[in-house]
Amino acid sequence: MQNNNLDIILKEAFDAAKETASPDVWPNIATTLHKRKRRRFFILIFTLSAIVIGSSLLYYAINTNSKSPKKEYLADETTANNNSEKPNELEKIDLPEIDKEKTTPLTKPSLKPNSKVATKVYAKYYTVDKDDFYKNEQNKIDIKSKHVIKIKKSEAEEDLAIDKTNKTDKTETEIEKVESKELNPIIRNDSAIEITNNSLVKTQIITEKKTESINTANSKPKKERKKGSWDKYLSLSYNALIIGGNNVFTKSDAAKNLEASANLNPSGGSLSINNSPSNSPNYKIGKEINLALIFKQKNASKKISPQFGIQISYSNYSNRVYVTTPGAVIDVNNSLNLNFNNQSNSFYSARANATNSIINISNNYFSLGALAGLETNLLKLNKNQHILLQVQAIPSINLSKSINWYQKPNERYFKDKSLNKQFNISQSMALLWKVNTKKHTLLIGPNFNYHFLQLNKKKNNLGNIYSSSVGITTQINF
Amino acid sequence: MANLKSIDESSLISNCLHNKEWAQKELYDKYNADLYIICRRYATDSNEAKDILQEGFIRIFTNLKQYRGEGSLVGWMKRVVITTALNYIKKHRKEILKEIDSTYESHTSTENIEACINHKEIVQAFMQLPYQYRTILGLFIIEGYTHKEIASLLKIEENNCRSKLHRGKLLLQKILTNQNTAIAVLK
Repeated sequence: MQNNNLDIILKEAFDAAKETASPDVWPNIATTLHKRKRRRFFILIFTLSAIVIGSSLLYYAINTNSKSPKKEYLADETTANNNSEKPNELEKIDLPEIDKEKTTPLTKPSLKPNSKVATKVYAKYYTVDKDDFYKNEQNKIDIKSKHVIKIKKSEAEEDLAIDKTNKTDKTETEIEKVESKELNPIIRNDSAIEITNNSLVKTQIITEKKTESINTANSKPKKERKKGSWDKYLSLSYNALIIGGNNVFTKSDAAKNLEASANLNPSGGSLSINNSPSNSPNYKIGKEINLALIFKQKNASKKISPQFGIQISYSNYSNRVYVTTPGAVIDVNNSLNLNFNNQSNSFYSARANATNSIINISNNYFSLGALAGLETNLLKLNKNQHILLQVQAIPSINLSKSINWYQKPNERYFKDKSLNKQFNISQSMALLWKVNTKKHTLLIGPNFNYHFLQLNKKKNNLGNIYSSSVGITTQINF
Repeated sequence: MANLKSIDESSLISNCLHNKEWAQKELYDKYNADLYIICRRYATDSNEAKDILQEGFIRIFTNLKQYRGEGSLVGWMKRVVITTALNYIKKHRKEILKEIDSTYESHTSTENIEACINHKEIVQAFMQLPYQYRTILGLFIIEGYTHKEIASLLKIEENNCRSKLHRGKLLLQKILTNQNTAIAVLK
C-alpha cells in the first residue's frame, strides 16, 4: 500500500513537473544536424568523384595492360612470302618483340577485295589442334595464293579466320579452338600459316596497316597516334551563373520573414531573414568563366576515354537590395546568403538609418582546382565529326572577394572588402560537337554545371551555396 | 509562411524526414519539455540533462524514418531518449552503486509525506537517489516498464531489478522523511 502510494506520488510529481531545456540546446542540435547533412553530401560528392577518377584510372590501367601481352611475335611479310613450303613442314620462327609504339589494336584489317593490302601480322599462338585445323578443307591453305589471315574474336577466345583477298567475295571461316599439347599453328602474316611444336603458347595476331608502303609514295607519312598517350586540350567556357536569393526587402517582406527565422538567429535584436528558396523565389544571374587544361586519352576506337586536368575559374554576380523601411535592421548575411565576408556593425547601423536606399553587393570568386572526367562518343556524324558527352568532377579551392557598399541612389555610404577561402566542388556535363581538322581537333557545345560551395559556418553563420551555370564550352587540342 | 501550429504531426514528421529545419524546430519545441524531464531523471545535473536531450533529439531526427506510425510519436521519442540516456550514462559515468544500508529501512507512512512535501520536493528527493535506483524507479513507476523490460535494457537480472526497485523506494522514503522532518523543524 505504502509502495503504491509512493508510486502515485512520484508519478504525480513528475507529471506536474514542467521544466524546459535551456534555449541553447536547439542551436546545438541544429548545428549538429546541419553538419551531418553536410557530411552526407560530402560523402556523396567524394564518392561520385572517386568513382569518376577511379574508373578513369582503372580504365587507363586496363587499357594499357591489354596492349602488352606476355609474348608477341612479329613476322615480316617478306619473310612469309618466301615461305612457300607445306604448313606442317614449316619451322618455328623466332619472331622479334613487337614494337608497341607502332601497333594499333586489331580492329578491321582493311581487307578490300582486289585491293592491294599490305598488312604486318603480329602473331599470337593458339592452342589449336593441327589435325582439327586442317580437317576443314577450307583451311588447307594454298600458300602460293595470296591469303590474309586475320583474327576474329569469338565467345571463347579469338578464333582464326581466313580471308581470301584475291577473290571479290570476301569469305571467312572460323575455326574452333581446340586444346592441344602438341602442335600449334602460328599465324604469321598475310600469306602463310605455320605449325610449331611448341604447344600451349598463346599469341595474338595484331595487324598493322603499312600505310607508308602503299600510300606514301608522294606524301608524308601520317602522324601516328600512340595508344594510351594523351592529347592536350585547352578549354574555355563562358557561362551564366544562377543563384537563388532575395533582392528586395520592404517592411512587409521583413515582417513575413521575421516569423520564419527570428527564433533561429535572434542576434541582438536584429532581424534575420531566411533565404531558403521556398521563402525567396528570386534568382540572381552572374557570369562564370572557366579556363582548363585537359589531358584526354588518345583512343579513337574506344567508347569511353578518361580525362584529367586543372581548371581556373572566375565568377561574379552582384545584388541590389532596396531598403524601403526606415529603421529596419536586416542581417544581410542571412538575408542574401550570398555575401561571404564578415559584415560589421557599422554596416548595419548605416543601413538602419536609411530609407529608400540601396545596398549593392558585388561578389567575385576565383577558384583553382583539379578535374577528372570521362568522355564518350554519342554519335558519329561522319569521319571527322562526332557528338560527345563529357562528364567532369572539379574539386577546387575558392577565393572569394566581396565588395559591398551601402548607398542612396548615386551616393555611396559604406564600402567593405574581404577575402575568403572556401572549398568548392562542381559537377560538369557538356554535349560537344567534335570536329577534326587537319591541324587541330575542335570541340564546341553547351555545358551545364552544378556547384557546391562550402562556407565557413563559424565565420559567416551562413548556409552553403548551391548554384548552377549554363553556357558554352570550346575546346581545342594543341 | 504557413502557420506552423496548424501543421499536423504526420506532416511535421514528413517535413522532418526531408530535413526541413523549421519542422525539426517545431518538433523540438513541441516535445522538448516532455523529454527534458526524462533526461533530468537520468542526469546528475542540468548540463548532463541538456547533453542527453541534445543527443536524444539528434538520434530522433536521424532515426525518424524508423518510426512507422505504430503508437504515439511522443512514446517513440521517449523510448529513444531513454535509450540515449542509458547509453550516455554507460559511456560517461560508471557510478558504483552503493550498497544500501539496512538503516534505510523506514516505516514512515507515505500519507505523511504526501501531506507535507510538495511535488517539487519529491522530484528533488528523487534526484538525490543513486542513478541506478533512479533509473529503475523512473522506468518502472513513471514510464511503466516491466521488470523484464528494465532488466533487458540495463542488462541485469530480473530479480536484481526487483531488489533495486525495492531498495530505491525505501531510500526515497528515507530521503522524503528526512526532508519532512527538516521542514517540520523549520516550521
